[in-house]
Amino acid sequence: MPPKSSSGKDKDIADEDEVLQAVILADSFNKRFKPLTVGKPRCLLPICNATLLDWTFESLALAGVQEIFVICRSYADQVKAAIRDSKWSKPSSGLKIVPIVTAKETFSPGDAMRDIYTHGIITSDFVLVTGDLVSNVRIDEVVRAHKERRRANPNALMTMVVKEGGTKHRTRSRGESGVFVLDPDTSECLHYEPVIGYPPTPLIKIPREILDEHPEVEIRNDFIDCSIDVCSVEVPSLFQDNFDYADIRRDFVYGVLTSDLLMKNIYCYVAKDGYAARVADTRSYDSVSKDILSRWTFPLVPDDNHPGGHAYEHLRGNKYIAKDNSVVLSRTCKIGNNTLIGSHTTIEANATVHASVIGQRCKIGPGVVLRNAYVFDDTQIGAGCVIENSIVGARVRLGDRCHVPRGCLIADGVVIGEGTKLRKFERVSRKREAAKPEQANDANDEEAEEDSDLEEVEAHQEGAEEILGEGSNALLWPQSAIDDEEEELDERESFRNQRLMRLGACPRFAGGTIY
Amino acid sequence: MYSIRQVVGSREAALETALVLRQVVSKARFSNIQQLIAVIREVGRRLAEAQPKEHSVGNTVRRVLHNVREEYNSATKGATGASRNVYSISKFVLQGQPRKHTGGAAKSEARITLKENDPSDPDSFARALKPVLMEAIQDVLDELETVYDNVSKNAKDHIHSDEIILTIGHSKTVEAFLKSAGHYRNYTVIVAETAPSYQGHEMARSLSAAGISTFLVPDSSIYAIMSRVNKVILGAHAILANGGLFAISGSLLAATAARAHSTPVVVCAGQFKLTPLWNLYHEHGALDFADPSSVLGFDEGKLVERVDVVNPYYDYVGPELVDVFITNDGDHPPSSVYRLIKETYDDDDHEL
Repeated sequence: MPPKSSSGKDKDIADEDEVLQAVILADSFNKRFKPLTVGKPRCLLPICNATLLDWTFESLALAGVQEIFVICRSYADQVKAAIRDSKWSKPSSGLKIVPIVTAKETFSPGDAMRDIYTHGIITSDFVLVTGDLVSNVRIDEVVRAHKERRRANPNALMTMVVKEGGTKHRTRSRGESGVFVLDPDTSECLHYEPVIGYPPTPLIKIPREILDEHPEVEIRNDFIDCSIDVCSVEVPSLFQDNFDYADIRRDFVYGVLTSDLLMKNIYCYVAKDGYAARVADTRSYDSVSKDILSRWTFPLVPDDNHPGGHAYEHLRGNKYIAKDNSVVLSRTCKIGNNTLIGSHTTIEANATVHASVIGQRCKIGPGVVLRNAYVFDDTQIGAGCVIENSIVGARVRLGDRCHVPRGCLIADGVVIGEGTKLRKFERVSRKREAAKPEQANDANDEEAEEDSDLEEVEAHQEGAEEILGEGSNALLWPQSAIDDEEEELDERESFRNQRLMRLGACPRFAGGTIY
Repeated sequence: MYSIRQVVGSREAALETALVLRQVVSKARFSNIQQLIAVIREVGRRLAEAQPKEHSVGNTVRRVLHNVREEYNSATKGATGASRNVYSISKFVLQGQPRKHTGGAAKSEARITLKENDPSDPDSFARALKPVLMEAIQDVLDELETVYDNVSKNAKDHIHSDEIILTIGHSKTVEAFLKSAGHYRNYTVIVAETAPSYQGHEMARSLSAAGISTFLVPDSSIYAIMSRVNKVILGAHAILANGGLFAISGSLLAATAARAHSTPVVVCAGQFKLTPLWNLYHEHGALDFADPSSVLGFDEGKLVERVDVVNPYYDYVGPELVDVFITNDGDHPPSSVYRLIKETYDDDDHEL
């Protein structure tokens, strides 16, 4: 086999020391995938027909992690069920996965870290990742480097894994990123400055001491932040001490590095080979899907080690068709490059599928055009529909001749009538069933929160009827954030910045004006 | 374990498989041979599925099954079972004519009384057969452990003094073969550097450390230097039943260039690479496409978006391009590989 990793023997040595622990923050703490995440946690969204959580587990297993704590907040039951049913819970998997449900008041990764501290589960250096990671980086090597560094310098607190990507890389988020100031010799991270896409960040400030103390510094704005952090044991306790730390990068890293008292060091690990990226927004959903299909994530590719356990046949041009002979492709349909088609899916005459992912048991009608589209399981698409740069959830029914232009998100279970023409970046979800009284009583906070979201949406339904066509059960979500000022959103979650993170957002307008 | 590619290399995978199967057989409870075969098959299928492109796993399972059946047959039927190998093709090639096979019965111990499905003592069958079975699996293990030595024992008959040999990639078998010939002959090796993995670099370093005069050349010059080359020696990832093989990408280039110059192409491989599949090369994915990062850096942001890069790990080299296979079971032309496979594995195991 390709000698990608020859570290098998070295790993055994590391194993003797202690179990490598990982913590997955399975909650995203933001709403970027709404309305797809109505009634479902983000980490259970499928990417290339396997849930994000499975990809994360697979990535960690590849890196030699043995014990995983999954921190979940919203829809914790679903996450727990998914873990229980996955192949990882079998005794032979060699992984120990412990789901931990945090309080509903956990609103940021910082809160989750404080929760980890109170649980007292961390016994040694651990790997901190988000529940939407796709990676083939040898994290165990990073851990080894981190441990060596700690031996020399007990103040080494954390090692962040970053990847060189160039400023315009498709996998690099333009809405939020960071400028890293590194010492090229020790790869110590001297300063971190968060950058957002809108309003554009024209300048960053680097403390003068850094330039005094270090003769050579590298200022990098081309890193893809993989959000894989190898943390020392004291990291959760630092979060506990600084109760206002919310984000790991913007608050914790920035705080530690600018603190005069703490005297702790944070390091960067620039991954030379290997791939790592997180699905932080719909735009990166698109780019990570494409990266998986074009095999950057090897050996985690659909035809080999598919995290969902599906078997795909790899055909010329990176086309992946389910292997069990259950896919029905019409003689006249066209399947383009970089396409994945799940089992029991039917594609009818003259349909064109290009650079798209289609789930299991889907029906793609005659003459349909799918371009950069992501269609989840059990969806039926009527004849003559055109879908571009959009995500269509599970169990959706699209009537004939619908037009779904770029950037649309259609949530699970939506039915859209014949001849509907959606606008660009339209977000559509299903109407709530009339709430039953007994449900209303014991509705928990989470549902309440969701309901308030939906109510807001329901309040803005003028003109929806004409757009959605007859027989639809859908709600249109507002195009622009209606009440940006009222809700105290922080800048990166503001509508104008979020726009850069949407699927299908045009790269030319990185500066800000509307498409 | 295989699935995440912690076990690297065909032979390591094969060894690992044999060890797992030995474990399974020693722990298994069975009261007749069908049960045992079913158990081995089930485990074997799971192992093979975990890493579908590593054919040596499946091959080792098939080989173990074959040996287990053989032991069972010889234990139950005695002499009739032992005479099965009379027309072995490797014996034919080595000795020139089929001969009565006499050596087979030598290692069978005093005949054991076997009683299948004994209701009073269901374990008696297992107890009686297990030592023989363990020995059968040990045979497979021994064979795997000595495979490099056995392949290269005739190296000096294939490589002559002052010859110029071209090789590509870093096949352990070829390395052992060339080094073994180096003890007897003075010859020159040209190693193609084998982009994009550049395994040739390591091969060249290792060979020149062994005192063999070695040149490292870029892949693009293979055709140009072919007129001076006496022999091309390739390693194999898998040898298919039609006599074709999968080998590291670049091998097809070398083999085709050799054909153009009528240079003989020799393939060195252990028997565990024999794969009872006829039409695998129709499958596009069989070439095991690796990640594009060694061809195009991930940091080339703009290009990554617009260019589809394919990085096949293996080439399919057709049987018409190969002159001889040197295995630990003798030397064979591509046309008799099918026969070798028939002897090595049982027909009912082709689909695990």
